[in-house]
Amino acid sequence: MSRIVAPAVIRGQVIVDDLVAFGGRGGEMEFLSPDPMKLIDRLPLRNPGEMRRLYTLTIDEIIDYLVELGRRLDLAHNGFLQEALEQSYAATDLTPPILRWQYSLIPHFFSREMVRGYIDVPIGIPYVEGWRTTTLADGRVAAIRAMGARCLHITAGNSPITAIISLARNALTRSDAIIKSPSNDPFTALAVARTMIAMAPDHPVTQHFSVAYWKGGAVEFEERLYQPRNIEKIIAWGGFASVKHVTRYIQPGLELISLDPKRSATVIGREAFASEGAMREAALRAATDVGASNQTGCSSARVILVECGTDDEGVRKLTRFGELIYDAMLKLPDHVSNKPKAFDPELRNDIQGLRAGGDFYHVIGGRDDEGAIIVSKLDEAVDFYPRLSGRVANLVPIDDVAEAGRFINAYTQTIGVYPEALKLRLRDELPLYGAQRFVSLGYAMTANPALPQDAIEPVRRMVKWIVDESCDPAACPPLWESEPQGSEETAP
Amino acid sequence: MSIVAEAMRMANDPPTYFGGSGGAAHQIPRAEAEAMQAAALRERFAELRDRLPVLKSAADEQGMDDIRTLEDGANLLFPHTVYKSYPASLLEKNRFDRMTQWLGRLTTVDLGGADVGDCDGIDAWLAALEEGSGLSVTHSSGTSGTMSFLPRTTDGYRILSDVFGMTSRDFNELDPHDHEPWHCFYLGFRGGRSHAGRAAGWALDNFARTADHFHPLYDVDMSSDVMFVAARVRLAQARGELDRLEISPSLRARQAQFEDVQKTTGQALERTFERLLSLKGERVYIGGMSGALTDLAVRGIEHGVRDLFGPGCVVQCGGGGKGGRLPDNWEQLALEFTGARRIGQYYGMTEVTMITSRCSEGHYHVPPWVVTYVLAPETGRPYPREGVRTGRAAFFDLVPQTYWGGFATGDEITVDWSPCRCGRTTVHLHANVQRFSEKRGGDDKITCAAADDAHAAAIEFLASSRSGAAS
Repeated sequence: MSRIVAPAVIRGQVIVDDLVAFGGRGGEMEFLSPDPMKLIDRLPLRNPGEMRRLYTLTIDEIIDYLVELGRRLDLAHNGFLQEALEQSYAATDLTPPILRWQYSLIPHFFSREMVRGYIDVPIGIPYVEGWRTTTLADGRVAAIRAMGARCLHITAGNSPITAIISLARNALTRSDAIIKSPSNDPFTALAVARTMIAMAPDHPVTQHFSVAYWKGGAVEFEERLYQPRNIEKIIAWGGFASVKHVTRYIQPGLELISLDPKRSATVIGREAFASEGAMREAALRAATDVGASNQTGCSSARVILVECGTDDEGVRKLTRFGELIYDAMLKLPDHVSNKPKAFDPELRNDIQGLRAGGDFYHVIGGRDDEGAIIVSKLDEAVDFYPRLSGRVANLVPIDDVAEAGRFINAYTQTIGVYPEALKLRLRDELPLYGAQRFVSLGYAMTANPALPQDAIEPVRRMVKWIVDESCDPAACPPLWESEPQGSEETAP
Repeated sequence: MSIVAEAMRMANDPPTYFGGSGGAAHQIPRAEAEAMQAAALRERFAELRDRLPVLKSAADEQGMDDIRTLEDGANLLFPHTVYKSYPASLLEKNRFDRMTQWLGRLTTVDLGGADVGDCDGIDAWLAALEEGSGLSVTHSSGTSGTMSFLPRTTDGYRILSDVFGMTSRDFNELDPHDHEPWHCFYLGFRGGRSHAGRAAGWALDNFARTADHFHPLYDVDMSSDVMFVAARVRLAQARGELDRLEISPSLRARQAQFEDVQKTTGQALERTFERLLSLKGERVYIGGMSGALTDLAVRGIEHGVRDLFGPGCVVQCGGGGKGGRLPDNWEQLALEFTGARRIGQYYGMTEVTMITSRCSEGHYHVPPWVVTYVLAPETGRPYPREGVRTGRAAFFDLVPQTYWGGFATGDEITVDWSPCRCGRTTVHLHANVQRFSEKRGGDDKITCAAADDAHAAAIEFLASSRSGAAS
């Protein structure tokens, strides 16, 4: 059996020494990667002054670099990507057609217009390109610049695009990145790094991009690496356990930017039942939000609130709507959604329990682990809703969308909404309970990295905001000339 | 007598069939036991196929009209989630009419006679069912946030209690016909309708026999409503939804009563310790929570108390300590303090009429009135009944006549189909039982025996939510 090797890349150098074995998730695959303890002295950027070279580049030059890189990350012609894709099939939770399609999307994320947006939308290019001055009410003139930092990115493995986003944000903020690859995607960031080296080995952007694998939670290693002298910021994507684990290292000088584990919900207004056409359209869109990438995303639809009414007639409509969603889900294009790679046996048990238990739920599909729609007959989500996965959604009838707040909490991220106008009613209310993103139904699983994410702007958090204040005594009264204020007399 | 008649005599009342002897139950040759099991399984299916709604829909769906082999039975193992397949809000909103309707699908017992309309909580609901229909419902501790309700009958409860008695006597090498009372310490609540509460009753029935010999740690029943609140609090905490948890006014009205119970738990350990010392040298049985036993043992050894009751003392405790943690040497401490020779450890569950005790080889033996299946975790299909197999535990309990005994658990077990060196002929499990959800890093379960933790947590929530509640 051939042994799969995931080298490390440290600032332009590919490292294949001191290989040790790591097991992938579910014991499915094993790969070899350099012993993290042997890398630890080289991995962090010891001298932050070396980031100076990034400032010899204009933003346009950095964008040029990324656009050229995107051109080379064409799956049809890039051997590194092709190899990574093949190796990833065993590690990923996605099925081959979906993973292949996501790989094929990489160049799209590096188009000039997209790349420009990643920095210009959240921060504004002038703030990263130089100093922006502004005069304040107290007379001082402030120059502000957003500068890079030494960042560790703990990327998520549910989509290869997270590695791409991390790279682009790192380059555009003139930062130094260490990517800690996830065990369910140890190869994508590596393929990108090797493409960068092949393209421009000495380029400052190449020189400030490193990729390594270690097992998340390897305390001895992490305690040495996660120190303010090595890293200023940790950008942690992913699961509850991994984010919770990282918090133990947070200390003054080391900041956590947490892209927490999230769940998403869907709100569908009564307009979906106005006509057969509307119902089919809403069903197709809902099916897309459930099925896309086989429901592996935090923005995937899981609990779907439907304003169909909670009486018998409402439940009857909801059941029919559920059948339409189920049918539409099974017909989604293969590269968007297909039969999930694995199905949670506990969830299967839960579904069987509802099916046998009778009265309160109607289960559509799910007999072949292909996905299912669970129709609640009461206005309550199933108790196990946080575990909905493998294309299983729960439709919940409500009498009025005003009740939606009941289903939203601190772990809620995306709310897919139908029809469009309903967003205007929900968007001022649901954030009070935790909702973070409203999106047209059917688009929950599409994303533009220029936008805020998890209710923060990660790029604004990734940079260091530096200020240079100029105070002319003529405009800004100096302290050394100030008079004591107030009176010692007591108030009347 | 035909094999069917013989099999049904065993299935309908195993303790009577085996003359109260646990030893006899575990001596039937395996082939004979399996022939009886297949016959009884077929008979149960024929009896219940069209009378039990939940079974009828499952059997209709699969087009099954007969069960000829034990393997056939594997097609009709209900997932353990069936007994909690109701929306939890029905309990929160006291919709016991709907709950009764739901439970009615799971049993052939007519629940129409039970007056549940005015029930103001789970305690009242289960009492009404008991009074009006003869159901003696046992519920789980709600580790997942939702309670399972098993519609066992009063007779089914009696059989299970007898099964406990005969198994305990067998594995502790006691005379099966000795019915003299023991001083019985039950380290937990005096009773209640949870599995743990019912277990207190078994200890009373089989060892104490009279109320004056029964010494529970907490001399009060554990309220099912309090257990439900504890379960909901845990779930809401895990989901960041504690602020949304609503407590019904009727439950709120009983809060003072619950708080009184909680106050009495404070001195319970001290009182029990004194009583233990006062019975030095007597014939003593100790059951319940291993955490409380460990606390008592530590205290005793600190006071220089050792070998308090001698080798005749019977100890059957389990469930872990507070927060599930016990000192590594807890068994040694308990044995040193009590003088007992062993600590009986059991594997069982709310839904099955069995108590399996560990034999001298460290194996749990499944009695012949329960069919064991090991299912492939991914597909749910049964593994062959030979060799050593690890997978999802499933059982067919042949005892119940009013609900379906086929049941796939959430536990991973290893079953050894070869004969055990202890001499028993019955199928045995290795001691490495674990829950799939724990294996997957899922729920952190409260074991049934850690009920006093749950009680305290629920009372704390009730107190804090009252002071802060605007609603």
